[in-house]
Amino acid sequence: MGTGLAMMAWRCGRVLTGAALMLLAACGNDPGGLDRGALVANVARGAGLALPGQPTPAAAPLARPEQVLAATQAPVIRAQTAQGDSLYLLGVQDNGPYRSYATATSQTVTLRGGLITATRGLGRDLMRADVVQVLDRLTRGSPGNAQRSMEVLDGEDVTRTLLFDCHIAHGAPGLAPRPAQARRLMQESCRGANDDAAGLAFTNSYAMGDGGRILMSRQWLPVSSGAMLLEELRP
Amino acid sequence: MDERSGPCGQMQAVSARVWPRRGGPAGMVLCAALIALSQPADAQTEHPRFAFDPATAAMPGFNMNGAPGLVDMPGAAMAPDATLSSTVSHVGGTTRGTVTFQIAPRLSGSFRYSGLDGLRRLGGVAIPNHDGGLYYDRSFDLRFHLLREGRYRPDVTIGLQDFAGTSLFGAEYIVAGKTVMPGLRVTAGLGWGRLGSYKPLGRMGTRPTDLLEQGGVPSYDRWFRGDIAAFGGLEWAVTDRLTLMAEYSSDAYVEEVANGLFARKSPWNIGLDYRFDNGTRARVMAMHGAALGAQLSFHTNPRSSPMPGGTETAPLPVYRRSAAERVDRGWLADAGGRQTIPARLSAALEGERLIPGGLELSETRAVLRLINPVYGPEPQAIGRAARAMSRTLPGTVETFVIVPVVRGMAMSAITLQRADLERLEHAPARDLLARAVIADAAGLSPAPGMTAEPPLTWYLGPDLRYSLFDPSNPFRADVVATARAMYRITPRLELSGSISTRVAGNLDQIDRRDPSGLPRVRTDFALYAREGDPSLDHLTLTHYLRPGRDLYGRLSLGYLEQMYAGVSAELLWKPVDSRLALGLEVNHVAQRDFDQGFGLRDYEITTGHLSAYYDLGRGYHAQLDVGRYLAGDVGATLSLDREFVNGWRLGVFATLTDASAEEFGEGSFDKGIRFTIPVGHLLGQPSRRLGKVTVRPLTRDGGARLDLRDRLYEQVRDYHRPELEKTWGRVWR
Repeated sequence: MGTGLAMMAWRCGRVLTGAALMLLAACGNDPGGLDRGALVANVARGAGLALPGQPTPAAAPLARPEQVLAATQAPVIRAQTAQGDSLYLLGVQDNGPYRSYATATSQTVTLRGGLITATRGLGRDLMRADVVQVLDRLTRGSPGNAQRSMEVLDGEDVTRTLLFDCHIAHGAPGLAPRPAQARRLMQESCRGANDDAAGLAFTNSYAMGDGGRILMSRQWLPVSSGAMLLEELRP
Repeated sequence: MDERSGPCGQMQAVSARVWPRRGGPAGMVLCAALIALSQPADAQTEHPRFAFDPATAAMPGFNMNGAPGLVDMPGAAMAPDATLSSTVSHVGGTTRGTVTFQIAPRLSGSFRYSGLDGLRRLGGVAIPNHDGGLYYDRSFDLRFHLLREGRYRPDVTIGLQDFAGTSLFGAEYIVAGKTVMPGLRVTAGLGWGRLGSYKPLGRMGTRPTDLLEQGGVPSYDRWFRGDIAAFGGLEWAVTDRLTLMAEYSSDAYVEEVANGLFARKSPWNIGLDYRFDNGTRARVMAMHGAALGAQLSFHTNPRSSPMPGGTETAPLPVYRRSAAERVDRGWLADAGGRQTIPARLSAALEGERLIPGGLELSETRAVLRLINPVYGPEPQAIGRAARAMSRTLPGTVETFVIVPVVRGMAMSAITLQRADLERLEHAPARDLLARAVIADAAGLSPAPGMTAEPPLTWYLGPDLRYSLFDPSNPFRADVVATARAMYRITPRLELSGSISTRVAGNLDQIDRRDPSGLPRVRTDFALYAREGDPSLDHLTLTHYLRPGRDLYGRLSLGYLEQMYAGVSAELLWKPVDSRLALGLEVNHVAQRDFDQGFGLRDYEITTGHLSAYYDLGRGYHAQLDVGRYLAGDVGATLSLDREFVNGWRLGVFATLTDASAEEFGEGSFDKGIRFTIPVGHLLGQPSRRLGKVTVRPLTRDGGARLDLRDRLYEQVRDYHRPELEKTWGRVWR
């Protein structure tokens, strides 16, 4: 039977491999077609295989801030992920107190007074956040307790709300190098306060400028890339 | 459904529906394994993880039979709701492959395909038509959780193993389990049948050995009858990953010992279980002092995803108009500028991979027909279209009406106030739902010339046809080269065809030909597989219509499927807010020649059904079809599905007709299980494709329906309120 099973697995594997190879040669004009390259790469990655000719993420040197600011009149922030990937985002749309920033590859981050309230295209996106209480304490420089919530989609596509109890205090651990214009450093320590946020805890750091504006911050996100370091280059 | 099907997400072009309308668990095992592999062990634990995540949830150990338990004996624990598990075990000449689904928090079910090497006799009688090689057996289990573990109370579960059919693995049990201290769990139970075969303590009546009817019916006459024996054991979690098990087995392995597969020397089994980061478990076990065994279990959950929320790029931001823009009527007088509006909107929609189906614009209102070829969650398409409209339409247009169009039929009219979009872009999605009006769209179907849908769509490439777990071979498949094309004569009139030729495979080697007491409407599948190369898979002319409010219609003519040609007419009543739909389908068909060319055989039949579809809520869906089947038998099919918001569906169906069990033959009546796998959800890229797999223990002639590609209900319900509400969380994605 062991051989029977092996035979079955082998035949099965042969047919699947054949189908996968032919898939690459398939063509058509279905507007709902899948991105076959991404599909094959995804399967290969899932199986832990390295495909020949796969483009490795280009380690293109990031442009200098002056170059970016010279090239656009739009608001600019620089973002750095926990993995060290660094990129510029341009302010593309305001809607009331919210401003959406976009990368060159159509990912967006939405800020309210410098606090991240939504991401799109980052993977495990933050669909929405309510940061009113936190923002109020930060801009007033007033330590104390605040609640915040974050909405995410779970694997079933159902919206889940993560509730956090937070404490705002002075000082900003791990935020360096700080911008010269920083007048005040604040931190926000949060702990999951409902079932969906159970076990989650994070600390955000903020460097505030004149008028309580956030110049630089490290903010935790439920997205794949984790926390994000944001620096305002042009308001 | 052709364009939306594939046996597993990893093979988009591959269509599972083609041939003998069975097949699946091997595919499911493979898919489950691939899904398990594609869920990387997350190095960053700071993501929100939910209780159904297979890598973090409290998953009980699974036994050789692919059910929660010790080594071979069943346990009392249940997997987290909706867990889909695949287990392969091998010990002493027996290999078992099992797919288990946690149907509800307290109910789980399994399908098992086993191969016994060297089994020649059952109950002392030589197995007919069996040469003594691998003997394949298919079995189904059900388990119900009677009591949930409390501080002092144990888990208690009652189970039926191999409850229909030949009952080679037939057993019933009641089992209790309790975690007595952290990491140590005690299990004890009473078994009947196989589990009552070693050192019975007593007996409850006698256990019949004859099959009921022609097999395939629940063998209720055996349940909890005959000898009773006790079993039990311990599980000790040495570390988070490593668990040791020891058990006392009440299974005497009567048939295996009699056939010399196994020498049972002791009732004791021990095992060692290792859990990987992604929840996959590997086991080795020492069985009855006589054999070593090994086992792998993969766990996934339709509710989990490698990338929740998808990986597609961001939508356009909503444009918020200024007070001046809202009252600026200048555009009405500017005829030249006005003419560019539809083109600008089309460009914005195409950037979102949406297809405009025509725009009607007045001073304050815009009606957009929208074709969504890509996004599985329909609100995502609607949200992206509304965002594009907010950026391209003149400021005085206050009302957006989005009319999703499928195959030329207007499915619903979703009215959004532009001011609400501007105000609620960063509010919870449900706030926009509360302001949206979803209405019937009869009369709004696009006229010819309005839509930008390409008139001709085509595909050239591979396709897969397979048959799994047939009685003499667990896996057969053909890879075929397929050419498909669909031409839209008008938005609602489609000419569609497909031809294939075999590239490689072994489907033509089926030699099984079952006797049948009914017209051979499905059991000649081996002849179709052998002679149909090249094959005309289908060639149809289909007209869709909206005859009135709440009504949808379809008329099809031509070579409808592999085995039948003729005409098919369908009418569906489905109010836009309703969970209930009613359908009527009437077909007159003739059987096609085995070579699947243009010729017909001399079997003709009028077949049709009245159908009721009902969304039961909480993710359950029921369908009842009453009518006349292909062999002329009259009866009803009941289908029950568990449906997940992301598109996964798992269900069962059974058909009872006036064909007797003798006429039907082996299996007594038609039944099976079915799966729908949303390809986009598996891959993390947007797609409306669905992999559909139907598994029948046997393909017979009773209770057989036409295999139509384009029945209305599944196409219509997507854009109606009950479905839109479920996936509305995607509207701002």
